[in-house]
Amino acid sequence: MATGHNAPQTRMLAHVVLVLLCAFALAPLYWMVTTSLKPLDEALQVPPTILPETASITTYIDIFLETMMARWILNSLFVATLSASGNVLFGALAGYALVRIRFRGRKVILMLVLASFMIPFEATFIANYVLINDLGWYNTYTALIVPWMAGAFAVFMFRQEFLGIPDDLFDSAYVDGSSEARAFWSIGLPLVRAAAVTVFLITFIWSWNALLWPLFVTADSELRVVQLGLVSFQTEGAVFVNMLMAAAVIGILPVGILFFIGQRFVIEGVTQGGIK
Amino acid sequence: MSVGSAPTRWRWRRSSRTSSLGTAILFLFPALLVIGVFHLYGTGRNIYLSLTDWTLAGAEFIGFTNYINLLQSGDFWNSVKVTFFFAFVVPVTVIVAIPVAYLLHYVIRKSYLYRLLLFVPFIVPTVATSLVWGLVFAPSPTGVVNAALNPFGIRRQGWILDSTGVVELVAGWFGATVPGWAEGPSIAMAILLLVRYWQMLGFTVLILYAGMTRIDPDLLDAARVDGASEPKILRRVVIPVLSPTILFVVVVSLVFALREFNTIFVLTLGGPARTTETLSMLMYRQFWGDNLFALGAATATALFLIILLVTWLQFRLSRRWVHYTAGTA
Repeated sequence: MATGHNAPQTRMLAHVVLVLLCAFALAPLYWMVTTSLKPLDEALQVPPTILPETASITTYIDIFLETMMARWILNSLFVATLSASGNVLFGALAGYALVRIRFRGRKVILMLVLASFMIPFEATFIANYVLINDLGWYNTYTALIVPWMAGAFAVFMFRQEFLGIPDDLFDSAYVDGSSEARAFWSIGLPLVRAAAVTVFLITFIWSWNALLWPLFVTADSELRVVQLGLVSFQTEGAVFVNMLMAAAVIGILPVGILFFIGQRFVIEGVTQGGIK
Repeated sequence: MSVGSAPTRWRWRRSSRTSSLGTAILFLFPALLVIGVFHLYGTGRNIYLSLTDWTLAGAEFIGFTNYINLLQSGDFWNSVKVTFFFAFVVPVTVIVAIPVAYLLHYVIRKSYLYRLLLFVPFIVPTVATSLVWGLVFAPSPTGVVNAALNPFGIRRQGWILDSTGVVELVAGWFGATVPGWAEGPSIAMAILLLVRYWQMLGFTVLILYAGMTRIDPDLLDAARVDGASEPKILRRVVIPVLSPTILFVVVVSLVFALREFNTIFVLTLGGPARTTETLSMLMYRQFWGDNLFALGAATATALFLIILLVTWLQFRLSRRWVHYTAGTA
């Protein structure tokens, strides 16, 4: 049907608009990368250079030699991996139980989980900070990880996924007389692989991007996560502009790589309510 | 007949395994422990703390004193104003996002790469990107915008440190002055909004695009056969059918904006002159800067109630809207 909406000039115009918008979306990231590659005098040049005249990665080497960036990256990887794994495992277990096992109070539990979905984290931060202190977890990895090891988002994602699986698929396990744990592990979990990847990626990104909670519960620079490290560079004025940008690039890289590998899963998660 | 008998068989089979309450508890325990302690109990305890005079020394129940203090403080109302301004301007992104999503879904054939690239600002850590924006609008001579404007003889500006109202600024160009209440949002706030648009555009487009994929293409073809122009189809067919999705994305970006912390923390820290001090920044300052723990808890509760109200309104509205546009999934 050759109608106006796909006339060549209309499409051409659409491409022009979209390319401009993408340029807007990527410009700050471009600036970040190019500045990180410039030597300091060029990074401070007025007017600034669009393309680095002398590009080198020495700034990146300096970042690792002169600051604790490597440690912070490892901290973030550790914290994000554990909290994302927790969300996958505990979310899958809970989602499975809510669908496959009949028990009294199932509706109530579902309502409670739903209610927790409505609660903004900000409403709990101060109370959780006190609790963390009471437990003696202040300034530990435990404080950074445990409160984020499960959440309503993961439970819901897995519940939805298990709801879509026909009972018949579990029959073989029941006929064998195997336990619910076995049925979950050998039949249930493999069937929700896609949801597991989505939950892992989304909760990993959340954890990686978190700032307020680590700011509340850690004090030592050894325990800083990447985002906190970046902020400390800024507030303590400890590094030069090109180094700050190199640090920012490093802070983005792991999430950027994960996003490009698992883009379809991330987009799936976000459109289904996996929201920062 | 087989369709009719299926549910009974299904129910029977499930009920044959209902004895497993213990298993259910085991399966649910880890998730419920975390959600129960850190979300539900945390919320309850926060409310309790806000009703005490809690300091490091201990806590005594004092009723609504913190709330009365809060309601009487100028800082709180300033933050309410700032928060609402920030939150209610951000969803305006949909005005740009709807036509963009339309281009991506209906006009060009392969739009995946565009969607991916537009989405990048939403997914990358806000702390890192806010650092770049901070550099772009830095008040120093080497700030990117200042440096770029320098050759044109424009003197350097304060940008993120500039509390001048936007209306005040424009009036100033014409040599006019405006009263305090009409100054408008500060330049710093305008920059925050720009950064927010940048972060949210791809997300908004993506959600709207997903909504469009669920619209029956016949609906549009019918309009085209009738000779309707593209803008008219967008206005008369796509937008009405898409309204539940639009409502959803507006409310979600509203709630995000109400809660936003990272961007503001990195760019302005609530300043200059508290023109960007949202409720979450106020809570942070009370708790961390001023050691007013219980007051911070009261502010957190206020923020919680505001978000709850918005979410509840969405439920009410979406029920009605979905009713009007039955058949859109």
